Amino acid sequence: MKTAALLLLFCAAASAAEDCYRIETIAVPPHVSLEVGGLDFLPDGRLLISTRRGEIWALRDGQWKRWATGLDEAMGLCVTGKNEAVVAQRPELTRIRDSDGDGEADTYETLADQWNYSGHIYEWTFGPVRDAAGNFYCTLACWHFPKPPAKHAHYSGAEIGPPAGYVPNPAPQWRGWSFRVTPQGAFEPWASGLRSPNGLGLSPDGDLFITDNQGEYFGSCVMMHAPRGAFLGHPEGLAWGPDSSSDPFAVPLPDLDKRRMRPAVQFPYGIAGQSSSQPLMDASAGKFGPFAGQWFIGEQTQSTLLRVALEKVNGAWQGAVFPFMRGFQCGVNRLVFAADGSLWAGQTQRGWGSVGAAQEGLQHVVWNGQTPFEIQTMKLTKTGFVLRFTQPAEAKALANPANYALHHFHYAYHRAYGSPLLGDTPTPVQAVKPAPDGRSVELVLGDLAAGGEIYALQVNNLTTAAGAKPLRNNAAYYTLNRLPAP
Amino acid sequence: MKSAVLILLLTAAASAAPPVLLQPGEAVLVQRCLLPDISSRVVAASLPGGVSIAFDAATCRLATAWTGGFLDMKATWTGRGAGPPVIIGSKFFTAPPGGPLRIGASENPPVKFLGYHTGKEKLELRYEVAGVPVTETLSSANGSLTRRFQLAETKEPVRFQTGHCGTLTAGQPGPGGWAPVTVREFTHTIPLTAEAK
Repeated sequence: MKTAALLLLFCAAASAAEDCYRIETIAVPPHVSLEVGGLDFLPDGRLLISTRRGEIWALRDGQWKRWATGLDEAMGLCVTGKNEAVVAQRPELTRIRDSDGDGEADTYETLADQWNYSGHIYEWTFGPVRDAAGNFYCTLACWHFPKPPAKHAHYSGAEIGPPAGYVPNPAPQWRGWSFRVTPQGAFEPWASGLRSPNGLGLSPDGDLFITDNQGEYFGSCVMMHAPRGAFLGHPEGLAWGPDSSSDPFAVPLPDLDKRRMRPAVQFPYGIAGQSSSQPLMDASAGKFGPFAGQWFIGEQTQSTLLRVALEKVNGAWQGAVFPFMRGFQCGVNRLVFAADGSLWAGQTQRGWGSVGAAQEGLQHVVWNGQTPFEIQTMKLTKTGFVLRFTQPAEAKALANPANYALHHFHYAYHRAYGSPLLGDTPTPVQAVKPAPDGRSVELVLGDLAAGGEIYALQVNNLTTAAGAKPLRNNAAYYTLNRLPAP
Repeated sequence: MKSAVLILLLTAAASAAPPVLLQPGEAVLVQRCLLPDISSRVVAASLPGGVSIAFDAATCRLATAWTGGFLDMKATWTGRGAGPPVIIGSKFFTAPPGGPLRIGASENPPVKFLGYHTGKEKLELRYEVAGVPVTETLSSANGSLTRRFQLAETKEPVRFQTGHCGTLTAGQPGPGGWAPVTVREFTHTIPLTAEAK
């Protein structure tokens, strides 16, 4: 009930203030099936769009040209040169090149295929993203059901059957892992414990973040910091690697729990996300509004955009998720910023389902230059949180404790699919300390619960000091992993 | 359980839907896919001239060739991917198990798929056998499938498996369909009459 009410509030808040950002729908020729799996810009301004049907389309000024074709579910691409991109297919990472510059790719070079794709329906390859040194990072979805892959490599006894006509191939490897491919072509398993990790993002400092989806061992969708060697929660990947187990699902849950690195952010399921896709840092330097350095997250099921502001607390990344925008025509699967600071959103819902009537497509989010009134950041203190706003807030409402409603809860880490919302506890605001400039307020709550607790905040009745404009979105959800160092 | 039901529903939906045909055309058309009885890492291609092929990138082996169509992608492009593509047409060539090249003494040399290049009329497959770079160029004309092989220099003995099918410019196949090869460029031509035309 509470979840539904919060969702309604989010929807109402977001729809009330879409004046600052508008969504433009791109007309797609009828012969193009644009189930978007990847987006990136060529240096000459053409937008490359890879699709789940294995094509790559080039779009510029309303003109469409098929740039490449014949790929096996191209779930991501990264432009690497004038006429060149690296694309993730189910069986391999491929460098694709238009070697004669005629606008159509002709050369397909296999960069990596060490995971031995076996053909299972869930064996997606997501990515790539590329760091400053030229390394590529991808993720490999696991079969994500609680049986060890090594014991049913040919699907016998699997809960999810093989595709019709499937022929057993050698057992797959590295499922549930992320991997790195160096510029020299070396394949390096990176971090394990993934489930269906349909999104990767790199910070300017080279920190890899991965989104994953609710299911077994993931009570809700998450955004995780993934340093090298980390175990992120789902045991299937423990079938491979330096500390591999012949039966990773037999590892006691408390041992897995001790070993796992907790998600930086959890998206409250059904409230702020239901199927997370790509995280993309706002590197527009203000061209997309006052959120530079924060992350935008595609939401596939709810067809929305979320915003995440991270902070490093006591050595670990954590932070808050904010609703940002709804009303996309279907599931938002991929994002890319254009040079002008506008955001492109590639969409698909086939087989996954999403809010919205369209099955697929491409939309363009444009900021009109007016500063939206939003909670810009939610940062942890030793006794509560500091909220910073994008504009000065009206002083009386800002100082009123009754305008801040908080509660906290968590999700179970267990083998079952998903988790109910557990331990939901109201969190009274003991004191409010507004800043003189009206741009921020400290909420004093008293003792805080760490270890993955989610603090849900709703701000009511707050308007801008000038113009009495209401908050564009009035909710935030902070994942508290660690308390500040004493 | 929920996923299993979903898969069944998607499979049923795929069965009822019309085919989604990739049609042979005037230029090479490639489709990476899983094909039953071959591999999960197939490079399927339709060549101008009416021939379609399936090359297994896992074993670097031209597995089969057919005429009369290319692929029906309906099941693959339904739901999350309810099934593999279906070959449309009649096969005229099915390779024996294992790759066609033996370089050195091993009966099971390591292979590595490197990729491919598409021209309008030809598909150029690139791979390594026992560390030796190989280019296999496929084209179709005059009622046959032509496979042109170019091998980098090697001091190791080279053998080629014809599958008891077609003609080989490099020599005559002996027992088991194997022909010793001393040149570094040769052609294997397979008529469309072997199994169907």
